[in-house]
Amino acid sequence: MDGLDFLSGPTVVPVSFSLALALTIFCIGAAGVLLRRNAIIVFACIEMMMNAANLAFVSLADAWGGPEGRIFVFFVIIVAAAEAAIGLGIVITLYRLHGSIDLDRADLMRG
Amino acid sequence: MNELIPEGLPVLAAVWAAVAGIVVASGLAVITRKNPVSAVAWLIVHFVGTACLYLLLNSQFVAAIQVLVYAGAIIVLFLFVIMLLQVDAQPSMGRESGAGRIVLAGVTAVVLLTAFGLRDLSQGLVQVPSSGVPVETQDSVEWLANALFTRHLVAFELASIILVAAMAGVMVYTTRRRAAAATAAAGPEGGR
Repeated sequence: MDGLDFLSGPTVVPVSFSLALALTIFCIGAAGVLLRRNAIIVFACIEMMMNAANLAFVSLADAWGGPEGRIFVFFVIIVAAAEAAIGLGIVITLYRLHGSIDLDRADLMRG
Repeated sequence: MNELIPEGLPVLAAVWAAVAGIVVASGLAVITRKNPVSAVAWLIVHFVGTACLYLLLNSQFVAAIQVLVYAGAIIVLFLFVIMLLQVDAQPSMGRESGAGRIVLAGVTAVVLLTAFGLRDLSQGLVQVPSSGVPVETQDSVEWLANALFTRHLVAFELASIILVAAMAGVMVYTTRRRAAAATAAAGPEGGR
């Protein structure tokens, strides 16, 4: 850990900056979910939005100094891994049914 | 601008700004690339950049987990699924940018920025109280493990149940579909 000593210090930038960055990343991800129709890219954007939430958690945990924020990020990453496995399984099932992963053509539940 | 940044940290603040720019740019690249493979490749840059931000925020353990799980396992899963599906079955960018959707995305972004971000930023810095834990111990895995395996042990065990349930669920609904398709192809009715 000696090699990383230069990183052990007070917050590098004000926490507002990190929160603004997390907000920007979240908006980019949300725009991707709304704009793209490729199911895989929509999933990538959902992961990006989770990543933004993690960044907000970590920046506030760094400002506060307690372990809970980082532990919560650990659990969010666990849920994200499970969600990625389920979501990509859904994409594969969708492809088997339709021969396409265009989300606008996925209208199985339309009455 | 200068008074917002603590004394003695201009170099690390510059590094933070550079990495933040990389993270935002690679995020924009993810949602604009036509080819899903290059989008996922930019997602690797995005995740590794975020791990660098975690390092700058005194969270080495989270950074390591980020690289292992996100940039490692999840990206491999994405690339594997892309490889499994035929490329010509994937919609391209050209057909999927209606003006209404762009307006919707812009409105959403503006609402989110206004509601959450600019309010805090305009009122000055967010003030967070200190927990009193020394900065030197905050990057140790031992300190995190002491909290994780005592106060948060139930949540940790529940997380393992979630992982097993997700794995079993994916196996069930992907293999059952294949068996049903085989039965449908063999039967007189044929597939759908």
